Amino acid sequence: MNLLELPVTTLAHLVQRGEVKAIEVAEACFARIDVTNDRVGAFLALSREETSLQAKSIDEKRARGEALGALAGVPVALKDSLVTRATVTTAGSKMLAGYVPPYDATVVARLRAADALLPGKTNMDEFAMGSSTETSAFGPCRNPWDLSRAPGGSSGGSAAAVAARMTPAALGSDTGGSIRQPAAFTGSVGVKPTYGRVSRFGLIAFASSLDQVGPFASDVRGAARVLEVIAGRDGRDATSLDIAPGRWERDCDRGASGLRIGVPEEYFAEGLDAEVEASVRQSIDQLQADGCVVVPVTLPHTRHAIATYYVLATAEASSNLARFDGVRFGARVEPSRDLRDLYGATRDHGFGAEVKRRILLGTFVLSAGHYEAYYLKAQKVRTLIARDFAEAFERCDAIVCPTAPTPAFLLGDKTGDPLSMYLSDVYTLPASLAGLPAMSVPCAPAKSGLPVGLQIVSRPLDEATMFALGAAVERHHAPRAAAL
Amino acid sequence: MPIDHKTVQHVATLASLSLTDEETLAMTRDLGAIVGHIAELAAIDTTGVPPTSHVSMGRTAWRDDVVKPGLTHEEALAQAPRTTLGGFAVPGFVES
Repeated sequence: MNLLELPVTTLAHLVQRGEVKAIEVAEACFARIDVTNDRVGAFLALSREETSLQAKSIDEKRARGEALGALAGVPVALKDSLVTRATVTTAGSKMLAGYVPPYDATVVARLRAADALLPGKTNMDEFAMGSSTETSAFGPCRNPWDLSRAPGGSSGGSAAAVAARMTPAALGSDTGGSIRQPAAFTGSVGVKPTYGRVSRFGLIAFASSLDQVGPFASDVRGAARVLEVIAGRDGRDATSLDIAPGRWERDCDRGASGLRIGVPEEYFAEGLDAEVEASVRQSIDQLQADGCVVVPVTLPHTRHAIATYYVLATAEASSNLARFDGVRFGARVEPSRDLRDLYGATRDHGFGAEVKRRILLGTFVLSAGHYEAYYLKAQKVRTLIARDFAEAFERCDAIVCPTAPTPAFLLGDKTGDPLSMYLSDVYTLPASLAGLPAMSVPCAPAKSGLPVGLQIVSRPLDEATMFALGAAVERHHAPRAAAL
Repeated sequence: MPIDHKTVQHVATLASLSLTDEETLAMTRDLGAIVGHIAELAAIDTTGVPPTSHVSMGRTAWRDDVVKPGLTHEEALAQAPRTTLGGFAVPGFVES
């Protein structure tokens, strides 16, 4: 039995019953990482000793007759934008090389409390700014399905770890699609919850009005289990909602019959790969055969989501990244003549090109003379994008569409042209701007074998419908692991 | 609004980034293309539309009003690249 091929819920069940020891899972996990990670580059740092100690303490807890948590012995890889006490956290940036946080992110603490194993930190685009994991200061991550291709981004390492079954689950963060797009590219399940569902405390901030932590898993039920563990109020995040997590794992069994699924014409327009379209439409037909009612809907402001997002996200980033100044933590370039020189030299050395590009753009759109034309205007268009969804949800219970316009692209394909990289986020940005829950679930692969993701967007706080539909899509397309 | 060399230099100063000449050149080109794209927003009719700075889906959580231990002095300084006199070290910034 390959423990890491087991779904999250099955593995936890076996550990809870004592049929498998957590230490066996930990050993299998590192053995798998050791034979795959050199080729994939999913992990930036591994916590072998801590994980082994953690596994032993879980096994001892069981031996004492204590009940184990919902993720007992389940390895969950952590995106390196989540701070971990006593484990190096870099956010994929040279700026934070060697940084050891003094505390755990709330989601990390919740995973520990649920008896999950935390084997390591995963590769990502620098400060989550990218769609391919190629802007990582520590080298790109590769797609386990085809090592010449990108795993997507920015949470590419977490997606690749799950796709190659180094871990059955992982956490990522999604600002404009950074969980969903890599999930689509790697054939894993990826969930961005409603904004405010999951605490951002300890998530290194990119764009605070958009950032949301969420799970990757090898199956829909596994993602639901992880989300139930990490969601819920946290007084240390002022945007955390005072709402208890749902029973999303149960919702996976609800079936999709009777649900009205909205199909937005704007998501099936120019630029959509023919195979991706065929695959997504096949799943829509399958849902219809399962008893769903297909409703055409329109989201007319979709095409403005890219411009809106790249104004708002970069504006927020330019403010959030001001904290990296060479004084309190991270890199510092000396000698410096004065304070301004220290800031400038440190930031020019510590940040990579994409991060500088976004800080400059964000500073530009907020600067005197441009604020109204760009930043304020984008905030108004954000309202229109959210209204599009509200109107569509009067006619349907969830929206079903492609997650990304193409399957995984080749490494290096878009790095020379930042705007073409931004355009690849076209289908994931609108739900982010509207704060809605959205997931990517694998549908039929392309002829090449590359995975294709179907995106489900549901009403605010209605993750229940999203999981019910996700599980229904999955019933026609059993989870596949990348052979490596 | 065209992005020229001078604009990039000005914005870099605002953002505390000391760009090399080569970087300034590349950023002028890249930002020009991106600003060219985001300029499409100007054509959208937003008359009477309120701005959204933040989406809120419900009541947010309040922290319990109880004292809890924070970081110790040592923990707070532990990751500083340079410390002096029990604090963060910075170059002098007050003119004598």
